[in-house]
Amino acid sequence: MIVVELSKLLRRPRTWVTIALLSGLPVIVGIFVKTSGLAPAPGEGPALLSEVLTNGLLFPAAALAIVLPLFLPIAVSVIGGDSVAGEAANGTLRYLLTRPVGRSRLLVAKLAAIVTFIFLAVIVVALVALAAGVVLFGIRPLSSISATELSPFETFVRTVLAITYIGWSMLGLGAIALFASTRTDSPLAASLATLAAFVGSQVLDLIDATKSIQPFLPTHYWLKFVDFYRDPILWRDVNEGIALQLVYVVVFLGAAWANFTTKDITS
Amino acid sequence: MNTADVVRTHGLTKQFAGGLLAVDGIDLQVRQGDLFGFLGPNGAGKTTTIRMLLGLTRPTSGSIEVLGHDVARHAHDALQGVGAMVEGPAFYPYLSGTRNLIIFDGAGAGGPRRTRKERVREVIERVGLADVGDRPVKAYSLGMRQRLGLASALLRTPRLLVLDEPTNGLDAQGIHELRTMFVELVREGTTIMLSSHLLAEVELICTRAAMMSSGRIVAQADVAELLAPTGWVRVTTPDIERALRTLQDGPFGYQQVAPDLVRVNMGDRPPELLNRAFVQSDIRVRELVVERPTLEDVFLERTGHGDIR
Repeated sequence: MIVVELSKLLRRPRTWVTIALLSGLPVIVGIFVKTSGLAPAPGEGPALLSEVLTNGLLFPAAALAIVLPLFLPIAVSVIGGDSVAGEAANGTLRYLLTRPVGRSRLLVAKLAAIVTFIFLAVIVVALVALAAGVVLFGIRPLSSISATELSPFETFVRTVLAITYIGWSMLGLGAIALFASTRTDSPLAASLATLAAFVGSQVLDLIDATKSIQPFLPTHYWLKFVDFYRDPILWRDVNEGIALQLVYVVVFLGAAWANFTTKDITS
Repeated sequence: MNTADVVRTHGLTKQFAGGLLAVDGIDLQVRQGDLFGFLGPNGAGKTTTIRMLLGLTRPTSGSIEVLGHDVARHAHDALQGVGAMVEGPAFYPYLSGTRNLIIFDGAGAGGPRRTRKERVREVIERVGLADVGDRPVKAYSLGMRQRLGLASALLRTPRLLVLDEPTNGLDAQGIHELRTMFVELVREGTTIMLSSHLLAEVELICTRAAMMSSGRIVAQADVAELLAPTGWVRVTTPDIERALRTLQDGPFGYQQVAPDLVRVNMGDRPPELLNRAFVQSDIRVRELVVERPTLEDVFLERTGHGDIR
């Protein structure tokens, strides 16, 4: 069933349009930064963008920092929210279930498709940005944030780690989207509910009054991927971020399973 | 349970959360080899029943067995041998007809991957879509989608086909082809359960039928039995005055319905008795017809919304 879901994902034009748009934005930013020669001052604008003028190898990470706060979560919400509700709205859900495909198996396959989309998206964004970065800015040894020097190979390893972390960071949101998707027959409603959860988390993460719950918010550790560019890598927050995502996946996948396996399919 | 039963429900009931009693304690029995008509007006509970048979909706109470498996506990086993089309066909519009079927064949415990293309080609040819199989489904007409839905149900050669309003959207030619195909499939050993609100359509091909109204089954029998003669005979004769006089002396009830037409209630007695009586009295009989009800008549009679003319 996972193979079937992946084939549906990869044959769907929307998947590739979404990924193309995600990859295009950082390239546009890169071109403007290059032609104007105006990088944001350190500490302003998307993380790491201030550094790319001096080194194209850093551009994949900067590109992910550009899409991470908004565009990537939107894409995950749309794809994830559509996963079950889209089948329901389309009428194909009843045909899959009477094939028969077990409901638990279908959920797992859907989650696998969401995870595949997430990693496919971040990898393509990073590869496109790498190409653009090398062409626009060239390769040089990198100064880490901690002011020691990183070799190009070391930079590459760090970037792979950062990409994996960013993909992993989306899993919680993906699981929330999957759960929302089993609660309604409208993919739009499921996607917007997921976006609401995302925006809500961002808002709560901003204000001082909610400090006590901030370490538990799904978006809290997202930007910690910059810690991979410290020397040595600062693992503490990254590890907590990884564990937190896992908790969200378990909780919302469980909720989606409890809901979906007992539900009357009336679509 | 009779092993020849393909579908059997007992006291099957579905009450929706809002309190609506959609299906009210029905006992359905579809036997091996039946071309079973499942009839009733829109909203009678047919689709809800079919959804329960297919494990999509849970019954409030009652039991269902499909192909010898309890659907509540072993839906997966029960559905292995079932092909279904419920509430219209549905596909991934951005994929071709062939690709859609490949996806549905691969979903769940499909057949071996090696022969998948072969299976898909077979069913797509059977429903007459071989020429357009490579076009995306969004370019299909309603009739083509309907055929593709049937092709999807036919994948894996099911023992039982459950088809909900399969002729919706088809033109006269398409409906005729479909009927021919149903008869063919039954001859090959498939059992077909066909739901429809068009009683005349079912009358033409079904061997057995159940009628539903407001969540209950109002009739379930062989079609031949449902359409058994009513006991009334219609006689057309130019000698109507003398015919009426003869009937006056006879034991049968009768009523004149036109200047040259009289209906006679023969009850269980053979209609040829009447013909002989007329001929012996030298009454010219132009036409003598044994009255049979249509399924519509039977339905109206059983639901108390009318009576046989």
